[in-house]
Amino acid sequence: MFHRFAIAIAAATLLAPPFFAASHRNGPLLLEDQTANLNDFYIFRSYESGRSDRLVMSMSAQGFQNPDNGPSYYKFSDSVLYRFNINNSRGLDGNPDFVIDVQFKTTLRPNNTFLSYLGVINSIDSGGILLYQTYSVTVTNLRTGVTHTFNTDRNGHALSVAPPNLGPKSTPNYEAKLGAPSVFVLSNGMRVFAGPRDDAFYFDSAGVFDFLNFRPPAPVLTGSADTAPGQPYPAAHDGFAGYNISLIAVELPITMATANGKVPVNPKDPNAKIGAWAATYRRFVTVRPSPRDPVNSGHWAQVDRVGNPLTVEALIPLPLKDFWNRSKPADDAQFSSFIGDPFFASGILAGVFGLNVPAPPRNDVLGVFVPDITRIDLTIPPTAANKQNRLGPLAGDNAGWPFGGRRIGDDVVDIGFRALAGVLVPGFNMSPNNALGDGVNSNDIPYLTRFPFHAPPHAGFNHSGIGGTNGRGMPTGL
Amino acid sequence: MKVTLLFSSILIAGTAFGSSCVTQSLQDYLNLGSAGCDIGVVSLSGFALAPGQNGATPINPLQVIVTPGGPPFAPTLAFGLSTTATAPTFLESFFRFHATGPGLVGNMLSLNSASASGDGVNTAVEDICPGASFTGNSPLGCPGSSSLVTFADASSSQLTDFASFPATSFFDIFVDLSVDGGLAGSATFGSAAVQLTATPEPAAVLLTLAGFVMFAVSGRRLKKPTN
Repeated sequence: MFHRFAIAIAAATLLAPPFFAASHRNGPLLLEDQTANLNDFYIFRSYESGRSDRLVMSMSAQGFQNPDNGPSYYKFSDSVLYRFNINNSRGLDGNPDFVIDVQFKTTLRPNNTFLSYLGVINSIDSGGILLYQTYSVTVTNLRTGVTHTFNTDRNGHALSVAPPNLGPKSTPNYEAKLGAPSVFVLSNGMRVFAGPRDDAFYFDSAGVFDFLNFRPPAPVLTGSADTAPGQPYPAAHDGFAGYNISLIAVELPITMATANGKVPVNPKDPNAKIGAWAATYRRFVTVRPSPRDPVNSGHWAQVDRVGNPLTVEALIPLPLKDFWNRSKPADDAQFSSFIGDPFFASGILAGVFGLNVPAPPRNDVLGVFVPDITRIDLTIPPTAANKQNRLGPLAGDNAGWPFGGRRIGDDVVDIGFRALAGVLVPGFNMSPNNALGDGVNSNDIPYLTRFPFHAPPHAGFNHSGIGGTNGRGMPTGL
Repeated sequence: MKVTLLFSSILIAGTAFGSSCVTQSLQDYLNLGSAGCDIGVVSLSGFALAPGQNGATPINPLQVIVTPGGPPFAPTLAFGLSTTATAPTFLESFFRFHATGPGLVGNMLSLNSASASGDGVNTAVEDICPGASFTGNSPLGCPGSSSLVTFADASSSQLTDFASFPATSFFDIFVDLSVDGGLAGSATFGSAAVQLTATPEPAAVLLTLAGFVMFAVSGRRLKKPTN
């Protein structure tokens, strides 16, 4: 029966266009649940000056936020549990050993207006933030059972969500007044941030989703088209430019993330590598006793997860996406038949473009995506921001995806194209396999070189949807 | 005597297929394997455990008491847990079985003697795949499937749910019973019952009626004095 099912899925997939968009619009059920819909997950050793002994993790949710979407803009869900998972033992089997939970609480400050934000907001404590969100951070070592919950920073300030960037009149000097002050230091030394940010992901989604309608010279990049920042708009069209996401970011000492509480220095140390992923959960039962507010009961049930980029987008067939989103990384072997024979490689790269790609089973792909956790070798020193290569290990910069974690600026689409074409398999690191790309080589605006690293959110008053510049060069709150 | 046996066999052929189901543990039902047992016109077989939810503690099938009942064309199978979970305990019994019978057209799930406090909740969920099977050992991959949901938390409940189907002779059924103490509450689960509805096929009705008629005639003949 399963064989017949697999054949049916494969047949259906042959008729479907590929999906490559981090995880912004994946899983039919998640299209109806945007606040729990995770987009990207990042984990990397901090390349902020003087903080290389720190590990940074961040997850983005609720993608494609139009910056001017007032009056309520966007918020985190109070009924969603946002969780960072770290697996540091048992040969990285996809089971969590250490988790960081983030939960939000919304306060509607008394007012008689129809607005969520009123007047000039020049402080994170401004009374003009009428829709005010705070959050708690709970750190749990699952092996010891020790749990610590933080509701305030080390100075007793509530962990408040950064407000949106409305524009120069309402939120002047956004990053200095509202963005940076929303980074809080906890009493255990962690730093945390939650709020709107620019979507760091970049990709010509419009071209690819138009049935592989690449803009030349893509999909084979040569010369300046293959080096950052790549070609300017409109030759390179970043479908994520000008949009914001909701970001949760944490920075913690590396010693907190390893099984033995030490910073590994030897690549052969069993504690040298850890794996991590993000997931969202909702309570098992929701009752809507109208006219009262909904009531949530029971345990937390997983509704989405993100480990590596592109997994559910490019490797999991549509009928299984919702199931995959609910499943555990430790059980990912059940998807091996799809991941080990990726349709993107056999059906598109070989079938459509005639590339010579490795034959299945693709152990190189299985080794990264089963279980689907982002692996990071903690012995690899971070690369300074201005020295990073968008292609990461494929270009000798090992502190990037897929072996050194995943940084904000890693070009996971081009890395993914080339990896699926087999460049990590002996005999397949050749042209055009090693020159594939979508043509977009950089983000629309510069990232920060400090925590939380994502650029400030685009302003509602003036953004790419108004200027028609595809976001490139548009001012944000920097 | 031979005539009576013949009539009896005709009657049985119209209403049942094998050994009758009896009250025993879920483990005993698991041990029945493909042979299964019957309640009225419906044969139940293939009981098997299914992998539960993330974080749930499986309930020992020896502690789940299965009680058959109901009329021949509306057989009932009740699953008694009589269990309480306090936060953060989350108990679950998740299993499947097959129902085979003439003209299966309906299925009702009911939750009985369930209570909760705080954010605790009891749930009973039944997934039915009519005329086909789910893919693998989870209630997925059946386009025509239906899910019945019952629950009881501290402030509200839905104690019955029902689904109807075009007549078929086979149901693949998953039953998922959870006793969830929540994050700061408790839940007590009494039992959940699955009731199947079968529509007698004309041939089965005629065969059954024939059995009754022949019994009646036989009885009158036996009572008639011999000259």
